[in-house]
Amino acid sequence: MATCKDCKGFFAREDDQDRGDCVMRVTDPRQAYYKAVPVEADKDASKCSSFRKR
Amino acid sequence: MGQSTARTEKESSVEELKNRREWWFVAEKTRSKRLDYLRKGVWKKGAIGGNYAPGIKIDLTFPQLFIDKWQEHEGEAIMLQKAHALAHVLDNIPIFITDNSQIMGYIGSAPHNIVWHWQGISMVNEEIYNEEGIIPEPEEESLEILANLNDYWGGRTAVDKLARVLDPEDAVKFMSGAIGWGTPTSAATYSTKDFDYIFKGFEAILAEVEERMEETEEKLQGNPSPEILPLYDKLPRWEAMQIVLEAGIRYAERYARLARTLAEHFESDPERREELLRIAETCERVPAKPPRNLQESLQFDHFVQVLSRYETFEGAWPHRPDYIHGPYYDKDVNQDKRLSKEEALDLVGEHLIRTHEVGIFAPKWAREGLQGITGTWVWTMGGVKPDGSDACNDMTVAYMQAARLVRVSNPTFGFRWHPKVKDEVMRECFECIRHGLGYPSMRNDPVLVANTVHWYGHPVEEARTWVHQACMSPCPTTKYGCQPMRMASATANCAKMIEYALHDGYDPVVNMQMGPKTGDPREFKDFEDLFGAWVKQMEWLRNILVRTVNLGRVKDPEFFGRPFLSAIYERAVETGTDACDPSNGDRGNAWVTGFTWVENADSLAAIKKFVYDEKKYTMDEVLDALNANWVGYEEMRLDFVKNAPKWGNDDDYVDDLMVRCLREVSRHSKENRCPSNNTWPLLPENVSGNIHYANLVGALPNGRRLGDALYDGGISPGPGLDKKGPTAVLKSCGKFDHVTDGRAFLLNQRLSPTQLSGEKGYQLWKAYMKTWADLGLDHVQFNMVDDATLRAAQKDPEKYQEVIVRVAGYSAHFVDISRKTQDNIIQRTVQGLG
Amino acid sequence: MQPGALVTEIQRFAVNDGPGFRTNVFLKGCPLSCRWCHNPETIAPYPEIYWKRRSCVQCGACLDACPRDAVNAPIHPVEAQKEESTYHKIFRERCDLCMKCVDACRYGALEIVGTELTVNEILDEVERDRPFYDNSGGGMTVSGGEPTAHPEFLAQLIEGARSRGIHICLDTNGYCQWDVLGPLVQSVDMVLYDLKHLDSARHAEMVGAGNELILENLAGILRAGKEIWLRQPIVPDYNDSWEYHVKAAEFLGQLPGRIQRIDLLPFHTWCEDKYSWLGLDWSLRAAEPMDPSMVEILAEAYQARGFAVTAGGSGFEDNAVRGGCRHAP
Repeated sequence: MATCKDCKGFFAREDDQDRGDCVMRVTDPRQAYYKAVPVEADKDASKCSSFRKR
Repeated sequence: MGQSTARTEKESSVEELKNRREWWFVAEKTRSKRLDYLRKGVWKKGAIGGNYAPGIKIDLTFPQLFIDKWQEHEGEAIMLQKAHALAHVLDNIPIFITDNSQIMGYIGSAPHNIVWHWQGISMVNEEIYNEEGIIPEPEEESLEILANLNDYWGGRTAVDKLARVLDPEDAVKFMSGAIGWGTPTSAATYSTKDFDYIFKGFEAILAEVEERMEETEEKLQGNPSPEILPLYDKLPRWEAMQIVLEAGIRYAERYARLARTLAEHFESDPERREELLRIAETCERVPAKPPRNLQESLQFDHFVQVLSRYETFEGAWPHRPDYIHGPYYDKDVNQDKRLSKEEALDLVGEHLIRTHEVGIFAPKWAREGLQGITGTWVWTMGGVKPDGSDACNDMTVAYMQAARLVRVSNPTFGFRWHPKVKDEVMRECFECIRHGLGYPSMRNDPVLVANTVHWYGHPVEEARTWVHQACMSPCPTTKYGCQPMRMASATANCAKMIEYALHDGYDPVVNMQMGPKTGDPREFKDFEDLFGAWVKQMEWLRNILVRTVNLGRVKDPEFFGRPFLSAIYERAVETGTDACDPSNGDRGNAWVTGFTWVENADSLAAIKKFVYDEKKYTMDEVLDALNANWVGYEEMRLDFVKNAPKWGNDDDYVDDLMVRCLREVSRHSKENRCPSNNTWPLLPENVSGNIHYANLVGALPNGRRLGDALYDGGISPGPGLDKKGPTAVLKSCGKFDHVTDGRAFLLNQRLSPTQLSGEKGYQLWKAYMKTWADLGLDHVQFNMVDDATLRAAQKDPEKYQEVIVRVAGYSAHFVDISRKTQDNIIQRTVQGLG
Repeated sequence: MQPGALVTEIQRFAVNDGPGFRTNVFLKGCPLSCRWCHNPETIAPYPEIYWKRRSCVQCGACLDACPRDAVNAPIHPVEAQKEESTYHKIFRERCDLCMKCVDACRYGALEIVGTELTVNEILDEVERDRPFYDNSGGGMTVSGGEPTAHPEFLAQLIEGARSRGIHICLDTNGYCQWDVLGPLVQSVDMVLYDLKHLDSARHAEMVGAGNELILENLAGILRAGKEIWLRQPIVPDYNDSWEYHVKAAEFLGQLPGRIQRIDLLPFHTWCEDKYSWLGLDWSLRAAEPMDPSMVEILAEAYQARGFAVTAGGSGFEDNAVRGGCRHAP
């Protein structure tokens, strides 16, 4: 099963390797930005459309 | 050489654009690439004609995160329960860093999102189902989330709880919608913030809380007595403060982490990488610790604003950013030379943009009233320091310059004029006005400081720290001066005073006996009888509103709860109370907002002249005409419009009546008392209330019919009725005392851009402003757009997106506002068109 | 006994008629008849009637009120308001200005223009804007019409203003005998003086009289050393050529005294409505208003000879100079 920690967009927290930020590049009709969502390292990513294998 | 030629070309075309007064394009050509990107990147959150722009969506992540923890902590003290819920939001809400940006923080999980605050009134919450376009896809799923939320909150919102304790008769009259609007709760509010205290840093406040808790726990272990009993309730409040302050620090650290990740793994441009690392350092520093430079102070400020808007719907933005950030600008730009002026201007411009982009959902009727902006965010500029010396600094100038570069309709500025303001600063104000921004509005500082002392007894040094609490009302930013809550609902639809006086207290529009029975006007023997009836109706109307707000205010800590605001309020931290608890030393700074005020003076004058002095008409005829809504009485109506004296023409006949009305209200303002046992002065302004109430105010003796827009604001004369020009308007407005006859008085003036062009335009404006000050007026704001522009904007809105006009207390993009308001603005007398 | 004079308007917040904020007092009656006159209602020395077609609902009340059958029967308001309509409410040849029709009108469509006011009535109104004068170096400008057409009244008005401490500016066309004009000029603070054309024949053609008297009086005022701003209305195809203004500048330069400022006032057609309200035809109706920037070019002819010159005559250009903070051009 693919988990968040296997993804290129996952960055583990220094103080807690089991958690981290899922960082994504988003371009909307007006601006471009990087977005971060807190995730568990072991979260199931099999259904994630932005999953990119490390 | 090629470069210098290019620059010359650019400059000459900027000159041409200036001559044509195409200010949006002037701004586009003169601002930095960064500001251009950020300005164009903004998702416009203000609703246009009540509708949100395509692509704007309600943020559903926020309420879901909130309610998860809220329910988990059910049964705890409300502040504590809310603190847990907020902390969970701050730890988990998606964050983002926009390209080129340097200031972090947003309310919502993406730039196109607006937050929905659902804790106010469940009846209003139901309206969300009728919203089109802003429910995120998949819609069905989202609607289910919303329905679950509404099911849970039904009966649990702040106003639902308040409704249960309100006097039932007051409640019915209130709900008619005829006499006032607004909700007396922190669920829809605004609060003064004391940055002298806040900038100590969250860690220092946490230490203070810790100390208080230890002290208290010790007392609780000690001798049992009635004195220690209230302390039990304080502990959970302090704990709540701890939780949100710590969550605030973690929220900033999340940005720091993201910025570092981007610098290390994503960014290839070395310059931007530097910026990202600076962002990371900044967000690691603030709000935990005091700011050391301009970027940190702006960032600290913005985090505080964002955090308080996660806590509740703050509809205004009381702020004095030039005063707060000025020392950091001075240090960075003038002393350490760490920043160039251009770099500083980028930060200041972005500060305006980051504020402008904030979006909070408002129900349709409310956003129609707001006409194109999210809230009335009037930032305060200029003024004096507590010792009375000039407080204007380089940051004042920088904000004015940045405003002309980014041209946002919100925030706007209110400038505290005083005799020591330097000419260069006045020129900056004038340039903003001339560039058609519609701001700054000009405020008379000596008058308003005296006014603040007069009404509430704030010490003069504290009064001098004042900021616009909302659009107009000054509030000190001190420990006991800060006002934590919107004392709304004391927003009076004043035209009802004369309407009720003429109808024995009965409201012919909503068909209800509202005010006291003051007698059939046909029986009045003279004008004094009518005036006496007016006084009674005025007192009744104020009483019912003030009563409701006072009750809402004392119940607010129980019904709503503000852990974050309390955590940044020195007096709340010190006493372990909710910031909104009036018993913690709040000195009081309440006022009654008077919508549709001037109609009273004009109506009274018309009747005095035609019925009692000249006996041209009988009271019977007047009442018949009013009851028929003037239908069948057009000749008579025109006589009342054209030949009765009208406010704003330097005509003592009507002006004396205006003064008399204000004096009666002032007397009563001292009889009404707020929970801190302080006064409730009147503040005439409109905020589009003239449109809102058009169908709620019946025919009036000034010639107005049911459905006609009311006058457009404050003490501004009726549109087209100020026939003697701007000097006469100022003279009329100078006939009462702006210190003791009320809280503040909004005055709109339109000046012609052709008249004010060039150096002569500045000299004219300066002489005008000097006279305005000599006459003792407290406020004036200018529209600098001519009729031709506005007509063209009506026909071709696409081409005039950036035309900003003032609508009573704030600016909005002209093309966003309703046709009715547009027409109203155009109708306003063009003054001094040369 | 204090005589009254006919006043068409007391206009506050005037910013282009002398220094600072001013109140213009327009006296009715003028010996000249300039073709471009922007205040046609100030020419006749008696009260007249304005008929404002846009306010008229064609109710017919005026028709019933008129004792001389001098009111035209109503037509459909839409027809009457059409731009090309030649309909006018008053049949001028029969009208004896009894004003009964004005009394009958409830819509403000018929209006008397020209009200007799006493010196004190005028000055009470003028004095209301004193705070504005104090902050801008402004005051009262007596204009018209031609104020010197009412010499006795004017003298009293000036005397009254003087005693109230109000700055007085006399706006005159100079068409007046020196023995009348001279003392009046001496009694005011400054003079706005019209110059229409240097060629007497051309002057007579458009103004209705030659310019000899006017030019003599101009020299007289300069000899008297009174502060004077010379006002030249610039009319297309009449006095708008570069050559004309080069000559004019030369002429003005050799006069026996200093002209403090020259105001070039571009021709415009905003007065068109006034002619139609009076029921008068206007020969310049079809003329194009002037682009104000054209006047700026002509200004150079005077600047070359060291004159201070403005386009439009703002009362605040001068303040900027006095305040010593004139903006770099």
